[in-house]
Amino acid sequence: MKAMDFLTLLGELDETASAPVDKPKRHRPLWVAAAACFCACLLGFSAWFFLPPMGVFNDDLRIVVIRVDDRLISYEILDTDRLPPFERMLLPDEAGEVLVRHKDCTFYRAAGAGDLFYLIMVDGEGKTSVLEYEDYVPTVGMDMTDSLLTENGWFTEEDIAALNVTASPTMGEAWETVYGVTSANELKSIRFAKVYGFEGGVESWVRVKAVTVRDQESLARLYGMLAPMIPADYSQELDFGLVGAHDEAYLKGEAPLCSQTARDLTITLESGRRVILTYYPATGLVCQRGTRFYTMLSTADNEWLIELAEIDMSWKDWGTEKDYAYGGEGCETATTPIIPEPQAP
Amino acid sequence: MTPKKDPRSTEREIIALYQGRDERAIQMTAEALGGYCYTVAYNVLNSHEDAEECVSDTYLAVWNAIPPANPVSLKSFVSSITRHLALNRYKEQNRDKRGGGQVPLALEELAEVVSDTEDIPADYARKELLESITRFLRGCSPRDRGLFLDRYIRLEPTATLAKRYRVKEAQVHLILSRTRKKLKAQLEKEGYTL
Repeated sequence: MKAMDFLTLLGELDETASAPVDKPKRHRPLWVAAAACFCACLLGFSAWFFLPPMGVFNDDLRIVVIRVDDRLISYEILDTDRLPPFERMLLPDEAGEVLVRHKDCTFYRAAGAGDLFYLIMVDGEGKTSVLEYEDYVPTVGMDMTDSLLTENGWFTEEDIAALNVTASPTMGEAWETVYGVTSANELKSIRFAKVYGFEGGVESWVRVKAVTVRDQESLARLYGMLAPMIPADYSQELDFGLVGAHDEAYLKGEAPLCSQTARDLTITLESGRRVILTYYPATGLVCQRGTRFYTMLSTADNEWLIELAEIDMSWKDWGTEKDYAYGGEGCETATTPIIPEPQAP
Repeated sequence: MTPKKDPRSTEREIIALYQGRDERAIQMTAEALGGYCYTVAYNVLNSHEDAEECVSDTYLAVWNAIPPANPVSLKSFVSSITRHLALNRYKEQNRDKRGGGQVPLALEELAEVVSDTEDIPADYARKELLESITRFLRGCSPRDRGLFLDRYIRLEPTATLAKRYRVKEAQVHLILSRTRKKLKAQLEKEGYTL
């Protein structure tokens, strides 16, 4: 076999399957083994009952769409197989009032929760699942009839006829329905931090200043800006202002890296729930964690937000991918000071 | 009970966009994994232009592959495609000569394990061989296994590995050399003469 063929073959290795396994232990006296076995059984039973099971799980993304009044909301089915058996047994007790009853499925509010962030679904076979809010689906300009009738078996023509197809749901409307937020007073804080996911290559070297905003005046203005925003049309060209480490604009010093300027906004509500948005200040685009893109902020609002989040929009040298490929020497010689992330108060 | 969001949810959101044939999936892949893919391609090709083209080809290949593919880990899926495309491109460019980058170095190192014959195992034998290598790696320490995978799958330079694993570069070479020898011995013991 040629070395090149062997190198190609190694690319087919399943890295997760090659994770190490425990080595066998040396022999011990029989009574020690028996006692250990008894303890292990006891612990194993407890673990089975109270700890989440380990092993291979189904990682398929499973989304269901339901109708709430005249709107569509999509939810992700959480893998309840990951829950300890004890909690799984208690799942039916988590169901509160009936939210909506479709043909074969009933969707309940979570018991004791005043919002619709989590729901409990009981399907036709009696299986109970937990749903987590995923997206508030716009119904304007999209013919979803076919997909709703085929992919979500519980939809009927009457459900579709009831949908509001004349006005897009605003972000404020989604917050009110899903989180029960009706005003800025229900916002506790907003934290601006580096976007989750910028972790490859040079992007991993980028450090940004995390800022937490708590004053009511800023929170009120932010709520006032975000609440009326409507989802961007699918046909609309969206400019993220994405600049990566191998883009000419960055290499020539003309534009900063997107990982330097973009921010994850974690909005903590008084209820304790968190809303996470991603903000691209280069173009004023806001999106809900990669699932829903909203129309752009006005120039004045965008500039205010950049100032509020203390975002440095000037070009900084974080090295190049070539530096990364050579082991990061370029990063060490970069002139940019590394800004330490402040400690949480 | 408070279920928590899976940390891989961003990857799954991107996969969902691919499944929905939404072209923003490509933009988001570039945003999340573009740098990583570039590094993988650059390690093989040692050329900025070639690595960029290879990354672009990767996006198209991923777009064509999902659906029907529904990878558990988008990062592994995308990087394995990049690696495959980059190695193909490398072979095209270097039919008669050896170019720069990490490939010639890795090939020299792996030459210790193989006999440099034209024999290529049939598909079923290939699968068994991969299982043997997987078994061998499972028995290695996490550090030795990590070094082997980073060096021969991601083709990362030994200097980078030395920094990551906090050892001297010479020690990286020593560990890799020992691992290769052990792998060869293990494979021979199981009846493989590569």
